[in-house]
Amino acid sequence: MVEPAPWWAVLVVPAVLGAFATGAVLASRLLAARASGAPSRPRAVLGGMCDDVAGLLVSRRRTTLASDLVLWRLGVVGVPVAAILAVAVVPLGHWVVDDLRVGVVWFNAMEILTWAAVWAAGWGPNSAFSLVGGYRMVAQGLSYELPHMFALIGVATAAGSLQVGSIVAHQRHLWFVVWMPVGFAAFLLSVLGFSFIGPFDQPAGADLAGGVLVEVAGVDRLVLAVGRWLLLAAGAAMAVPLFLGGGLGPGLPAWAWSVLKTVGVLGALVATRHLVPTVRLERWAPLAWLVLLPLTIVQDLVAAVVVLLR
Amino acid sequence: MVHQDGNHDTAHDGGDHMGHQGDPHTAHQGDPHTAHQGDPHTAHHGMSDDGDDMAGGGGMEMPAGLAMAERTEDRDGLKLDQLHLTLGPLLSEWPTGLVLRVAVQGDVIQQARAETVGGTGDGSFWDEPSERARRGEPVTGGEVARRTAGHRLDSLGRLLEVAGWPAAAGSARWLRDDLLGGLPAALAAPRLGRLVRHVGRSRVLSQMTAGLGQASDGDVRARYRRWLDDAVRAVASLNGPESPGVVRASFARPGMPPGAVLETIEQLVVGTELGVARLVVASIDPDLDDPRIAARHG
Repeated sequence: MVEPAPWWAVLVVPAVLGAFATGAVLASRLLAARASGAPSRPRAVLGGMCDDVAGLLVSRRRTTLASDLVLWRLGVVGVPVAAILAVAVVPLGHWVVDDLRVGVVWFNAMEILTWAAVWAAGWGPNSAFSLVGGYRMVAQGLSYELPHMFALIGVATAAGSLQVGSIVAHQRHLWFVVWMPVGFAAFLLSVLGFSFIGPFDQPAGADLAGGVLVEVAGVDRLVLAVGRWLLLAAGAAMAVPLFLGGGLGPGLPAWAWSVLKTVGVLGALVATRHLVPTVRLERWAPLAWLVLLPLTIVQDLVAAVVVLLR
Repeated sequence: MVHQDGNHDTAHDGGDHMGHQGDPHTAHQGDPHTAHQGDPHTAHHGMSDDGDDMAGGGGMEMPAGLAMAERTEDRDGLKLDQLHLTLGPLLSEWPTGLVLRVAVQGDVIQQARAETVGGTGDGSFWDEPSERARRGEPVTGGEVARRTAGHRLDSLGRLLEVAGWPAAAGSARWLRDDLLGGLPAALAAPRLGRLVRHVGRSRVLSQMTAGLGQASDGDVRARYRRWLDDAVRAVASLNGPESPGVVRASFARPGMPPGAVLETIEQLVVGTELGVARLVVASIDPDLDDPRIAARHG
């Protein structure tokens, strides 16, 4: 079903993930341009993105007074690195870098790495807004992490395995999203949470003039910004084998189904960014703990009962 | 105050001393730091290490000549680092020229003092047609309405940006620019209708702003909803023969004492998280070119 890819897949995976992330950025910019009356022809949008990337590449990096440079740089680099490592277990059709027996746990661990990375990126520059942004990421993590983990547990329970390839194989007859919609929704919310994009962008909020992004400039800013979108793409890609049957589907080859489904999930996440304002943590945390968390636990109970009766 | 802090703990004496020398003490002397003077030293001692870590150095080191955080009681009666920040006058999506000097513990504002920098005080751009009408110059009702609609959309754009909704903010600003540029009412009305449906019916925005910055004119949610209503009414009267009259920003009503808007801001932001304070300020959106807002007694 899912088999390890040759060694050069290690080089291909970041490129594929980058392509998904670039597509998401372009789609997001296109929506923003159309909403605000800016030129929205594909060429104008692509040109705008290239201009911004080039601008960041040639502008100077920033250092601040009494910064914790090591922690700061580690945090900035940690975000894209975690995203790339996370997709090592995500299959594209039949290919995967390594279908670890604990693939779900690996993905979860990489996602938690981003907590630490974003917090460190916020702490490093010794700047009040940046520090507040970093701590918002911690608070945000406390709100989405448990629903996220219970969503993963539901999937693992249903498949009786933590191996992503085996989880896909168990969806031959019915995708998990059909009978675990709550887990799917909780997973997508947590993807927005760990990539701190859209409604969950408070760690990099406009009210903090950019939060964890406020002091990063030049290539550092590019790395951190790219890291966010790589995380979003990684989360969307993982939703496909977990809930949408991975590469399963009629007619088309498996890899094409994986790509199509990932594009669909990514598109929904990008659209959410434009339809919903930022959700502030002080109002989200009670909802996450009192509503979403119990719902995901009930979802896991349903999964467990179904597995027992089967 | 300084020596009480510096001498209580020999291990940290040097660090504390230098920290306080670097302090802009003139800025604090007016503040009611009574809690500070009554510090039990044991509590101080416990928090000392945290304070040093915050600044990135350890113990004796004085990082880059920066002031260390002070410690005062927080709202729960605990001792917590206090940091003095200045919001504005240049900050994205912030009323131009407003300076808010705040003392924060964590991300919660403990004290706030509003000042102004710049601002012409010659009258607001948004009031200009109605001011001309008051002086007896010929001004059409449509001209006043156009400027009023532009003003509400301008304020709305800033609030939506602070609320983390750049797409909706972009729409509000696009329509503002087009209206000020002379967009006919027949084209403006449907676009405004879409914006009002999108923003006015957003349950998330409503949930996120309800109950914030409660003052005599309602909360943040009530203010942006009023802006939407004002804009709809103004656009409806773009071609009408009657003048909509002099419509002003929600807070600066005739008869309000000078500086009252700044005092309101100070009162509303104390005790709020930074993000909430930003929303509150954006919902009041003081225009410092307006002499009644910029002028401040005392």
